Amino acid sequence: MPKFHLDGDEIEVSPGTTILQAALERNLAVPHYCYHPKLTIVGNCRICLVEVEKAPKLMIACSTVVNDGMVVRTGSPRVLEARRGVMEFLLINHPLDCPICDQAGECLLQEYAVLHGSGVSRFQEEKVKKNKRVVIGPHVLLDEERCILCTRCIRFCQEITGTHEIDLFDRGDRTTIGTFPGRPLENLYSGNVVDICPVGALTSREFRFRSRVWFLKSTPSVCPGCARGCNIWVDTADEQVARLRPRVNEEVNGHWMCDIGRNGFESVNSPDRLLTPLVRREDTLTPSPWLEAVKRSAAGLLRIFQEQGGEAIGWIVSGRLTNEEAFLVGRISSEVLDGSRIIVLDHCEGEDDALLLRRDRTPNRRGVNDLCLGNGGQQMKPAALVSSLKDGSLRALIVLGEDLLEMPQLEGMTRAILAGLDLLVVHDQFLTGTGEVAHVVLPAASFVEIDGTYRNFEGRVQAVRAAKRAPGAGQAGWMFLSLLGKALEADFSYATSQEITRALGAAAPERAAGEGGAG
Amino acid sequence: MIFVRRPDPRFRAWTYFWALVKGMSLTLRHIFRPKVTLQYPEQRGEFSEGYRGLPSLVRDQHGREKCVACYLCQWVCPPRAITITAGELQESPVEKFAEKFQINMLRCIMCGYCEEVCPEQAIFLNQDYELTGLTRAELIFQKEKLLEIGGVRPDTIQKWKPLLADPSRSGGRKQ
Repeated sequence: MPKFHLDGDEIEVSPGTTILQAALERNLAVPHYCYHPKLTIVGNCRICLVEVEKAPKLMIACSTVVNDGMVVRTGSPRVLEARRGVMEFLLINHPLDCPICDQAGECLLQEYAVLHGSGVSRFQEEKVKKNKRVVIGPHVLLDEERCILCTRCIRFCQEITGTHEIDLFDRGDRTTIGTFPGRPLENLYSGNVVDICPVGALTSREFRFRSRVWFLKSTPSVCPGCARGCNIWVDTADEQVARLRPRVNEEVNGHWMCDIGRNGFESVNSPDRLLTPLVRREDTLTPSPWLEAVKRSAAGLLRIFQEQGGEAIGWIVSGRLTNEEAFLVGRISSEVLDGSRIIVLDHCEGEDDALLLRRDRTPNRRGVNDLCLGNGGQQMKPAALVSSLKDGSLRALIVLGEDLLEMPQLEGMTRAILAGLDLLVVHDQFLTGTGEVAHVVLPAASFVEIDGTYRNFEGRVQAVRAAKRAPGAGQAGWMFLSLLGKALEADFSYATSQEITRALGAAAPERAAGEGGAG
Repeated sequence: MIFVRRPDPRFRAWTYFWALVKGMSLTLRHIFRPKVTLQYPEQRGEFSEGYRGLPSLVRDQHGREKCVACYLCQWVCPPRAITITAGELQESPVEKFAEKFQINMLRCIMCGYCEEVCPEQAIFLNQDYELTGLTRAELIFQKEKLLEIGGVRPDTIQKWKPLLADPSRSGGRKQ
């Protein structure tokens, strides 16, 4: 174990550690552009220069491995002078686009210019002009002038995705990054190059001019796009979701997330969201207060339960429910509407890919299976749903966030079948085709508006936190189910999602903790 | 209960007379001095160059809106009077512009932070201080009105001019 002196402290590191890694571990602010913990070290930005005693010149911290007895200084006058010089070179051809650059506010060039730059330019000549606003892929825009040629994006495409779309072109101060003719940057993980770009050279086309980053409020959450459950930051401004960013979790997603998850939030901002509960009166859906709509659903369910038994009632759920919602579905279906059927729908597409994306496009299939069905809930296979609707053995459906008319696995499902039901209760963010024929439609909260937990395909339970309020009278599923349970005179009442989390933890501690522990 | 004796004013009451003379003499002196009262609104006062009136947007000498919707004024505005929505200019190297730019003059406190923070020198406080309207909506100024009030302020540094003049650099390379 090599021991060395870092800014006066003697520290011991594992063999092979570089000076930069040791410094970052100790929260020493050594500036760096090209170094990224997940990519190979190239040492081309030169901003991380530090002074090593007995070395004739300054060394770059990112690629200098710690040796026993080294004496390193990260803030000596020689180092500061060198940083100022490096910053001056980097800024020579920089266009100073900050007012129109989406990176402004989270730009390392801005930060280091303030911390380590000289503040004035001595450059008298014309700046080199390069192409701006180059479309290099469906999600990424390149500004060649802003690029500092750190090659993080090139290494990402070589080492992480293995697709090799980006490379360096031309020589000297005209060097640019770019894509090859006819080979745009369209791999599934292209959005990550925007995140790792330390400057504003690569920017997101979806986030373009949507907000300035200093207006954004970041909430830690979990991506609902697939069973991986990538950790994300939900960035919101003015009660609108501006973007999703990966949140570092080495156990789940590392530093990355896929473009499907990254851009899967647009429906949340839609102006067409359902804002108020609707109840069918004289054959038209009319707005109604929440409690009235819930009471009406409960009365209908109780009547059918008493007349025809629990077998006539069906719950349509999927892996999109949180554990808390699934737990309540399980409790109501087994404790109150005893014997009611639970139909868990699939949302599968394609195959698992090598990096993150899973075939199962729901975040909580494991949790839903376990909590809905594990406590004595009666399952019905989706294939049997249509036939039992047709032959009249199912008389009431409670649909949680699904549009039955848009599910390819439900062959033969029509509006007429659904319209023939005695009771159809739909809880959804939008007024879907299923909602249009329903008796009660309740506005739902989206994944950025709920508290809860998801269990990913590995069994890891991870928390989701509301980043904003639901529009209108939208309510999370657990709130709807809690109110419904109360109206059905069930033996429980919950005021927050966290209460349900605790309750289900107490009911099944080994399941709540999951194999991987709460993330 | 405490009984307090009222002070006897008989002698001291006499001293008011000297204050009266003093005050009256000041009044008389001012009668013969030049008058400073303005007959507003017929007469208008003159303000210093740095007077901070209502904010407005300006164009440069080529008629280009200088604002690029960087949101710094919206960020810095203490009463949050400014609301901007950014849009993209497809054919111009400037790339970004303010699709919507409104200043709620009912909220504006004319502090001048917006002018100070603007990196494009696009927003200025003018000398106007008269703000009247029949509705509240009238006093929320939209971009067109702000540009009309602001008029033209020539730029000394023409950062965009060489770019605007060169059509090959207008839209960016597409692949």
